Amino acid sequence: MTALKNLPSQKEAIAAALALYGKRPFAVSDIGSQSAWLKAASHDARNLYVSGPMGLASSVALGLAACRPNEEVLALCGDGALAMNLSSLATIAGAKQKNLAVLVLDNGIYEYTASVPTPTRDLDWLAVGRAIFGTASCFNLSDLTADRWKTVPGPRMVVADVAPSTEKTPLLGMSPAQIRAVFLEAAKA
Amino acid sequence: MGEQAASGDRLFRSIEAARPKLVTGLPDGMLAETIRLCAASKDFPYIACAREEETIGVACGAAMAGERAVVMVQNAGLLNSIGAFATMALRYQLPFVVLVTNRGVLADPNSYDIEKYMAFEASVKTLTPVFSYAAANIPDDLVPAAFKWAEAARRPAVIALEKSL
Repeated sequence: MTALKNLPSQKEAIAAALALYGKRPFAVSDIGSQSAWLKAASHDARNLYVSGPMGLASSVALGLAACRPNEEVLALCGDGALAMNLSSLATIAGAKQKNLAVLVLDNGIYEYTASVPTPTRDLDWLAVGRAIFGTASCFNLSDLTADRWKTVPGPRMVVADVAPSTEKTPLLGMSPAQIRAVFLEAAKA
Repeated sequence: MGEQAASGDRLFRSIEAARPKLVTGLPDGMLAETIRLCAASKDFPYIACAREEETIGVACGAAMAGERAVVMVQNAGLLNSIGAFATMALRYQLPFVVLVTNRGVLADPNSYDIEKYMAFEASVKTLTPVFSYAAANIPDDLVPAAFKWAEAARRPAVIALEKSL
């Protein structure tokens, strides 16, 4: 990841990524800080907060995207979480799921776990994304505009270097049953 | 058609009868024919995952949208996925069907499969009910019935397919 100076917060990066879309996409977020900051940035019935397994958001998003091919789906993954399910990127590329994008929020730490450094803190996520999805489908968030985003072929990957949070990560405050009920209604065909 | 191909075809027809929105999985010799047929199906996509834990996530994504998903993995693969199975599928009470080949049973004594069988018996069966069937004699309504059970129980239905003497 790049120098910390002037990096956006995770909440700001999530809001910027959602703003790339014309219509609100389904957003599937990993457990911990991604779900918490997604809720804080843009709570919506189309958010699916994964509050159980770490790193599974990209796979859950793939299943959702395959079932709703006419909707856009954005997976919000922390760098530590995605490293736990790195193979899902190869699966998504192989599935050619055009309506799916993966947003990597790279702060180099496990924010929800005492900010312990991630083993991927020196990994070039943009190079990883370009190797898997191709150079035309993987960008830094700071290089994207809504107009440019429309022309990026899917499946897509966006890398956002974010600053470690200086404020306490908010609590999600929703049970799995609540999350399921709200999302199921929003995701009805 | 050989015996394995015939049972693979029967399993595919049972999956088809349940009208899933997607099927996902990883290969096992006993599932190869069914996977080939699913990959060629025009009625649903087959999502080939790189690792078994992903299949649980994919199925959960479908179930979260209220759609039917089928997972096909070997017992060792479901063992790889227990964390996702417990903390996503069970925690969110998501109905889908897992078809797992239970290798290493008495009629399937490859030395490298025995520990998989023992670990499956010791772990998965303590976590959730497992319904076992002979792979060579699959009922036509197996997968539709498994979905009915999963949707009533609000949890995945795990079907163990085994070789028999």
